[in-house]
Amino acid sequence: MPPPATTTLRSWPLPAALDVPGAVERLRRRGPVVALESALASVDRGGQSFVAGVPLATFTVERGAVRVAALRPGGEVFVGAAEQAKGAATPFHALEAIVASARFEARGDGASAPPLPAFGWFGYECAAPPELARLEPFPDAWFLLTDTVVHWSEPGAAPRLWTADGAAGEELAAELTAAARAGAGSGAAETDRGRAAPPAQDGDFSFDDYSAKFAEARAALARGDSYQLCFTFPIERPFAGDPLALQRKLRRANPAPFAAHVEAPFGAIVSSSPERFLAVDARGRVEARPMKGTAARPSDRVARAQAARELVASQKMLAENFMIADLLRNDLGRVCRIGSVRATKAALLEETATLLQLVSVIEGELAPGRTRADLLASAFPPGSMTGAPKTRSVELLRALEAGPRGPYAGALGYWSADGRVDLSVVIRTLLLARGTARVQVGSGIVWDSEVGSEYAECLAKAAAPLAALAACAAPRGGGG
Amino acid sequence: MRILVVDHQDSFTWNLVHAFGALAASEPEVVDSRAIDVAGVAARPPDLLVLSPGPGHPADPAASGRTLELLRALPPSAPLFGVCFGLELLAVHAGGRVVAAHEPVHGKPVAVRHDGHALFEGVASGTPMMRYHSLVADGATLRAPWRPIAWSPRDEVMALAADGRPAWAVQFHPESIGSPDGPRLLENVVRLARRA
Repeated sequence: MPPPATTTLRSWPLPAALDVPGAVERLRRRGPVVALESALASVDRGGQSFVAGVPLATFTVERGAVRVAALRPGGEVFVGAAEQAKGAATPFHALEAIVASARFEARGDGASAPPLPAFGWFGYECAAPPELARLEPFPDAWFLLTDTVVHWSEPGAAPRLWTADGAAGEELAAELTAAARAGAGSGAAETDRGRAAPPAQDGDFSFDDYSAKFAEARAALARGDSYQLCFTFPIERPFAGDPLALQRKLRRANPAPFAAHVEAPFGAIVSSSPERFLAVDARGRVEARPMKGTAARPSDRVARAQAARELVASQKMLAENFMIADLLRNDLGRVCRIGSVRATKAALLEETATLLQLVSVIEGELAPGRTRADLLASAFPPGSMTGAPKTRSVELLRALEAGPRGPYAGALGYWSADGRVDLSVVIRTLLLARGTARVQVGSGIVWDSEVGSEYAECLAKAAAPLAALAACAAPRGGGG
Repeated sequence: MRILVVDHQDSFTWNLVHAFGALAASEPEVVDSRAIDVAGVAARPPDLLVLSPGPGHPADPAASGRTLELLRALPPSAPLFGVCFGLELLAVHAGGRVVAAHEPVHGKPVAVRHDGHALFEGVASGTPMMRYHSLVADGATLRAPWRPIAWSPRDEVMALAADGRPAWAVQFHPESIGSPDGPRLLENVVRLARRA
């Protein structure tokens, strides 16, 4: 392998008025864009947000085949690395090799460089056999590879533009600054707190449909083929609007610690994920935050406190969470140093705007000789979206569910040349393509599950994305 | 100490690998149950053979791989420890029936009552242990020297031992975060296997 090509980065301060959608709005004029927004600093990406754009190249996986396309000068490095990585065991190993071909150093001022170059996602089927169906038109996995990112160190902080030292950076910083000044407050005046779930429509997955699948899932639990099955189904609506308008609605109604926005040639992803799949730091310390056990979050304070007490005392919800925490310990254990894997938090209560949920935190240290791609290969797809045991549960779900999941239930985030990786689980997310918006929802079916409450839990998870969609579809100035 | 863990396509196997690896201060070897070198392992048994949990019924070859074949080939002196599906495999090996539990218990700690067997040294009878299973061994159908040594509140078999042989099994999951006294029990397994 040739030594990595080093890029010296420079950063420019940008006005605090520039928010994540504002930066997306400018950068998407220059090609595909990926934004990662941590709108809640408590449970986090450290509250950091990123908008990556102006790609040097894109990394695409379709049915196991990796393709890297250069979009501007500088991107050839990644094309060359992709040639070298041909025959990589998994898409994770391919991306790892490609990312390793670049190095980024901050110039002067002592600031550490942001994560670069890869921002994107691995879809649920990305490690599945090529002959299995895929969710068109989304590829198995897609990342943009860039040297350009707008970085917020905490919510509301003034961001900085990071990019390769040179005149183009100066020009982009000026453009973003002018845009922020011109557009300050333009989006903030809108208020919509439409949280009520829009009514179900004809063609939606009915309670009868759900009940039949639920019974099949329960039969598999009774046989001992699975202990928990995360059965999911899609809800689709026509959508021909601007993905960014939808993102603005969703982030206001449902601020999330792992929100994301992707605009690519094949479609868009608008995500309000509350769940971290995996994070790895530059030294190889790993963290997983599996989320399992969910209840609707009442807006009334007394009712909310009661719901929270019931959730943390529910044997059924604790069972869901413990099972997946044990599964993540296993998935980390396969590649971590013996004795380093610990559950530092077990079934802790976390809240979003619409939901209460139980979260566990599993930590470990990569064993010598084990890489981040080995970790992904061991832990993919995210256990909180499959159930346990994973291999058999994935097979059972493939037979139970109507079609492929696509980006849903996969992992989205960044992979940095210095070893940092941070990926969310793609849930509470709208997939936009070909005039259709698709929200997929599900829940962990365990032996104690009751069909009515599982169905209600699924619909509660769809509420925020569907409300945002309805708000976008409503005619301007309309009375409703 | 040389430990071999047989994996039955489970999602908890590596929790056992880490627990035993830490106790024995050596990294266990892990083998897929479908790919066991039966003759090789039987000719040179490890200091402890661990049978992992897993989905399905132990009598189904798709679920059990070559593990039952391995159990038939092993000398009686080889130390064995089964967990969950691993217990069910040993029950089948001992001529017993594996049947539906009173009801499936997945992800719940339940009080385990035991008869004071050395496997439970330092673990009080009635201690909660995490359960993930739908099936149980029918204790009445086991061939000697196999016998139940622990039970659920519904009298389902929760652990087995074989008198005069270094072989033990538990239906619950001592490696789970939901089994606070699980590490103690695993320590006993290593101690008993070393003595064997």
